[in-house]
Amino acid sequence: MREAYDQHGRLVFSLCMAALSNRQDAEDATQQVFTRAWRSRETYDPTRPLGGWLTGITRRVVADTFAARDRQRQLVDATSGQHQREDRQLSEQVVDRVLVHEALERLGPPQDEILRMAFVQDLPQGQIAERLGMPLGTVKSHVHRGLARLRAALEVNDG
Amino acid sequence: MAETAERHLTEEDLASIAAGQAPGPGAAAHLRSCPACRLDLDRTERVVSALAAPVTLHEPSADVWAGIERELGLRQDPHAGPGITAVPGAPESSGTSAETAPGGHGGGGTLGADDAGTVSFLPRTQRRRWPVITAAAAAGLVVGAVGAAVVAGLMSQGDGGQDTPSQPVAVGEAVLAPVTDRDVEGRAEMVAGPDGALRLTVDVSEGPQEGYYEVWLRDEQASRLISLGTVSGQTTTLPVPDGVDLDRFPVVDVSQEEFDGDPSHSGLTLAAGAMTRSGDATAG
Repeated sequence: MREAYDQHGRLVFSLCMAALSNRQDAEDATQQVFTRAWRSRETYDPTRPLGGWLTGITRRVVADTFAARDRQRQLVDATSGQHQREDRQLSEQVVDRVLVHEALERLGPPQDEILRMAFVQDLPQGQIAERLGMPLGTVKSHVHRGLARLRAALEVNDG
Repeated sequence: MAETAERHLTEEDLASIAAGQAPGPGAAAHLRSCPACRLDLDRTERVVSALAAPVTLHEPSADVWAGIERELGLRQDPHAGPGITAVPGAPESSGTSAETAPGGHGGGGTLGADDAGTVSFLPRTQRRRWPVITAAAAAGLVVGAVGAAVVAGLMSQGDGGQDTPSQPVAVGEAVLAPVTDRDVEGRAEMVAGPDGALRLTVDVSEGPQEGYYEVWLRDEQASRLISLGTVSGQTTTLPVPDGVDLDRFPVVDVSQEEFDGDPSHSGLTLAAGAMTRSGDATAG
């Protein structure tokens, strides 16, 4: 369990932060994700990535948190009628972003840096090669391998 | 008619198309006929757009873990090591039902008994790149082809000795679905000899044209692999190391290797499939 938490705590917490934008709520939600995971561990299929399973649980916890917020709000807002707009759940794009950036951090140098330069800063590969003093072919191959690894990270989100 | 025999998109194709370049005519035609490449391209595009929109990652504070421990009552034995990690249940894949896990419930017990946690909560150690395997997994070939039925509690076989059957006993088999356009496919059968020793017999549809084939047991993500040996002809029987936990290495993988002296998996899987445990094949 500790291992699962060490491996995926940041992912789950970052997902919760992205959805709930409140540190306390995100911490509570993260705690729930792992306690639920533990309690329903019988349903985990060990042939599938753990991150994907935890992401699924995170979605449900986030949805439940929003539902709880709603109930509370109905009491409080009976008079004020505020707070209509909110992104009600963890959207696919947000999950993708967190998964990809989390995986990017794990790639380690120089691949993570090269991918950042190529896709975050949008630098041409020639320029990246020049800056890093690396042959263009090496940069290309880092880009290709890095993308493949990040793609694998997305698979966990695709059930 | 459909030119499925064309080559799959390379990482370079994927990267450049995802970055906005128009696919060449060959790639475009291939994409129309190849769902696996479409899926890869779709994911690559998602990666590229996710990269362009940075998010902040947050480390949870120490309170969170403390809360989890408190809630689950994990505190009582701080030295319980693996006992604390999860006990995976019987495999329960989404699409398939109970029948896929022979002895599912009972099997869960076997599994939990001495293998707590190690199966499930794998550390994501440095994953090497396995483009081809990834493509295959995406296409559902690797596991889907055999119904995702994965060995539930084979460990008992390892020690042998209970009934000491005099005949080899079938432990499991795998249909090895082709992964590349070479269309190499095959079957693998694992048997336990009278002494409990496991052997894997692999049949492939076609022997190597160059280099050699290597047979691996691995997990689904191909982040852990055990090499069983090489295949030069079309049928080969290889000894399986004593004590290997087939739950952790449920997939049989045949790779194309070159004589380059590099002992690791080349990344080019020709055929792969998850092992289905034999029903109740005990002698008598």
